[in-house]
Formats: sequence, C-alpha cells, structure tokens
Amino acid sequence: MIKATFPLKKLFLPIILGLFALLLVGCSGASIMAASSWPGLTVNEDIAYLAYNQHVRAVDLSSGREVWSYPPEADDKITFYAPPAIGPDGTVVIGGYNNEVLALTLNDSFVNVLWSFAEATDRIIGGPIIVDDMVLVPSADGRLYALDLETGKPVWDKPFEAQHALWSSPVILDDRIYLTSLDHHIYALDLETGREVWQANLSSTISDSPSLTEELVFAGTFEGILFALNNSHGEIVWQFKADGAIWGSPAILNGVAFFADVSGTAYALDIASGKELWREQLPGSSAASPTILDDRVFFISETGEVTAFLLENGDPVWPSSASMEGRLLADSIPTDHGLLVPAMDSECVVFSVDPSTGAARCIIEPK
Amino acid sequence: MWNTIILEPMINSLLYIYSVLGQNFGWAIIVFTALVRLITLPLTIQQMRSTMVMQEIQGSDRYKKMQEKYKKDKQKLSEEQMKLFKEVGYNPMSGCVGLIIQFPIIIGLYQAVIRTLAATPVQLFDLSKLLYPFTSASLIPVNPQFLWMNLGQPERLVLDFLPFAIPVLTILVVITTYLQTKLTTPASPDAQSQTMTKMMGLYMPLLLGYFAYSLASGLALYFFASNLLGILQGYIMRRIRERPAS
Repeated sequence: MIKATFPLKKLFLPIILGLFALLLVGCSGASIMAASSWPGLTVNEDIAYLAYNQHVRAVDLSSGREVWSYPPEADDKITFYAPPAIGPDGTVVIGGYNNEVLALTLNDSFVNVLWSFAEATDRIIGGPIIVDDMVLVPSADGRLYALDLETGKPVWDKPFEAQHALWSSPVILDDRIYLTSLDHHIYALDLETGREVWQANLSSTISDSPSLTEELVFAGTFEGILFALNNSHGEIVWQFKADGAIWGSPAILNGVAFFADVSGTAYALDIASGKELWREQLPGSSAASPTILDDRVFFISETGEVTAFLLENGDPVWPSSASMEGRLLADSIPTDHGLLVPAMDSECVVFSVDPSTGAARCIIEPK
Repeated sequence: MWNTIILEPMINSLLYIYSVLGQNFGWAIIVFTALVRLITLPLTIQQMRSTMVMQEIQGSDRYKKMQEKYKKDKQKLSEEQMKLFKEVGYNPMSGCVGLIIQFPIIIGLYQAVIRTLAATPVQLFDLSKLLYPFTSASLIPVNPQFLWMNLGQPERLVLDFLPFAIPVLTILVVITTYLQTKLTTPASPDAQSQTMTKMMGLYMPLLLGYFAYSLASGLALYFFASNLLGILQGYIMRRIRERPAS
C-alpha cells in the first residue's frame, strides 16, 4: 500500500482559518464580492443607460441589443451605480465608486472619454444631473460639484459643501438647486453660484432626492417623517409620521403625494394639509420612489414585487402584485416598453412590467 | 433568526453605547468589544481551563508511556486516552463548547460593526430594518471619524515627511494577535499540539493582518481592542495559574 506523504495535517489549520475567513467576510452584509448598490438606470430616446457593477451600458430597448459598454474591459477597482446623465448632444456623464466623473461620447461605435474629473475624494453614489451646459455631481465627500458639460472644468468658485455625504441627485426648480444630505439637512442653493440660500435641519438622515411643487419641497427621513417645507425659505409647513423609515422620495400628482416606507406601507397624502387620504400594505419593505402612470401608482417592494393602485382611492389594479426574482430597491422608469424595474441579486438586471396586466419579463440581462 | 438573536441586539447596543459616548464610534467599538468579552468571560475561562487540564494530562508520565506503548495501535491509544480522560474527569469537548458558542458572537460582532458603519446605500437600507423602535434614527449615519481614521475605510496614516502611508492598525493587529496566541496557548509537551500552536501563531496574525489591511478600519479597531483584552485576560489567567496554592 502506498502511504500518502502529503502533509494533510499541516494543511488542516490553514483550511480551518480559511473557512473562518470566508464565514467572517462572506456571510456578512458587507461582502466584498457583492454589489454595493442597486443598478442606476436612465432612459433617453429608447436607449436605456445602465450603471451596474463594473460597467455602464447603453441598451437599445426596441431590439434589446447592447449599443456600447464602458469600460471595454472590466476593472475590479472601478464600479458604477449612479444613474448616468444624458446631455442634449448625447454626451453621457457617469460617476464611479473610484470617485471619478467621466463624460463619454459615441463616435463610430467607439466610446470616447471627452473629459474626466477626479477632484472628488469619495464615491459618486447619487446620479449627476445636467442643467443647460452644466453638470451637477453629488459626491459622498459631501460636496456638490458644478462642472462645465463641454470641458469638465469647475463652474463655481468652489463646490458647495454639506456636513456629510451626498448620496442623492439634486433637483432643480427655476434658479434653485434643492439638495438633501446624510447630515440630516435639506439645502436650497443658488444655481448660478452654488451658494446656500437656506437650509433646514430635519433631525434625521435623508437618503433620496427631494420632491418639488411650485410652493413646497418634500423629503422623507430615516426617522419615518415626511416633511413638507416652503421652498422659498425652508420653513416646515407640515409633517407626517409614517410607520417606518422613509427612503424613496414621494411622487406627486394633482395635489397628492404618494410614498412608501421600510415597514412596507404605501401612503397617499393631501399635499395642502398633510392629511392621509389612503394607505395600503405592500408585500415588503420599499426603498424606491413610486411611479405614476395614467390613473395608477406603482410601488416597488424590496422582496421582488411591483404593486399597482388606483390613484384615486388606493384600490389594487391587478389581482396580485407582479413578482420578480431579486431585490428591487431602485426607482422604476415608465417607457413605451413598459415599466422598467432594475433588480439586484438577480439573473435579470432590468425587468419590464406591463402596466395594464402586471406581466413581467426580463429586458436587460447581466453582462 | 440570526438577525433577531444576534445582529439586532448587537447593532442596537452598539448604537446605544455610541450615543452615550458622545457619538464617538471608535470608543463605541472599543467599549462594546470589552462588554462582549466580559459577557463571554465564563466561556473563555472554561476554554482556557480545559486547555490547561489537557496540557497537564499530556505532561503526565502515564500519558507519555501510553503514547510510547501504543504508538503503532491508534485505536488502542484512543481507547486508553479516553479511559484516562474519564478517570481524571476531563471532557475533551469542554474546550470546544466554549469556542463553538463564542464563534457566532465573533461573527455577529464583526457584522454589527460593519453594518452599523453602513458605507453603502444597500448597507444603510438594511440597517434601517434592524433598528429597534426605541433606537433613535437621528444617530444614523454614525460619524466614522476616529483619530486619524475613517472607520468605514481601510486605515493608513499619512505623514508629510514620508513618501508612503503606514498601515499602523494593521501592524498593531499583527503584533497583538501574535502575542495573544502566544499567551493563550501555552507550550504543550505534545509534539502534534506544538506544531498546531506554532502554525496558529503564524497564520492567525497574518490572516487578521490581511483583514485589517484590506477591510474597514472599524473592523481592525475591533481586532486590536479584542486582542488587547485577550492579552490582558491571558496574563491574568496565567498569573492565577502560576500562583502557589495557599
């Protein structure tokens, strides 16, 4: 009989330690291999721009064909989750978890980097937005950068600086920028200079962008309070206590604000008074903003469901919620190809849900 | 079930300590680690006692003679060993039980630190579901700054006069892990145990050092605090053991 001379005993300890290491890192919510955020999706003229993991991709929604992908080769050190911004000339501005902002143009099927901006000192998590010839980029370093769309050079004397990270896109109304921060504040800034017009402390983290009407600005907090503030001076007009933390910004139509919370409750409030009009239970927690289409409002549940209610009274539209595989945390986007619902931890990155029937199909697969 | 029994109590306790300590997350990690060490102290003592008893058995003449006599008959050796253990009232599983119970606590502590730091949107969203109703949401997000470190990022000390950054915490974790392993696993007369101890002393500091270098420094701070307390525990246990019986 041949006796094994391989030092199995010596390998026993490293194997045990290796398994311990895997358990320690792999079983936690902070797995270094898992996606750090949900997909960032933007749709412009029948093209879906998807930022997820190591690529930003442009996909033709009619044919399902990938038009381009950046970077050509995946780089372990660079990931993208912020929804891309699309300029009027087709320039695509993307922000990465490597702190860098890039402007991409498409020439003869090749993606060129028009400019790059690398002065941010933390990740770009919230999507950049384009206002005329300016790009506004929120960064997790707490600064809002204003860049020239053509050159990528800073436009303001200095970036606006909050006390904590900016994880959401700014929103524009007239000549003002409305911005929320993890520092518990909502800010109104002058669009031209980036200087603060007013700020309001809401005592708890605000994760998503604010919603706006002509008179009011709305923001939901981690403490589960939806605030309505006067958008001229930032005074609180009313507040509404939800059952759980509020992540997604409210959708507003015809004087009614629709939103959901982490406890999985969907609400409709009268925006003049803050009075509750109706509430319905969702299948799971909700992080996304609801989407309004025609006479119905669509709520996304983390557990993989899309539920549609009639705007008027909250009656369910479909016999049961549309169900998909994966975690649904990102906002949905209404298109001619159905309601596009990004998913993470799934075999499908973007689902399309038929708003009439609730039938779901995969429209963009992972790369 | 894991979340309910381990993670939620740990995260909410960590946040409570954070609020009491003036919202300093570095000190919250250190105090929380000390508390967990204190709670699991009976298990640690049991485990260390078990190791000591085993070492005394291994050093006895009877055990050595047994090893020599049955070195070619593993089955018989095993039987004789078990007989000896039974006679002296030693349960070979007693050390393991303490270790097995501590294992989920260590994993939970690590996860609690990382999840409370919530450096990404998914982590922050998940954290929102783990808070007790009485835990103030205004504590979120925790302030990750502690000394020169951002506890959510790997630690490096940048000094103006040096062209490179120094991973101070990684170095401290490697040194303290080595010292702790040395102190808590005293020399054994058994050759196989000696090899295991030697390898443990080599691999454990390297493994934890790698974690400290590449993962969030909040975790490295936990390793460092835990090691220092482990060294202190080991030192006290050793002094008690060496003290002559009155």
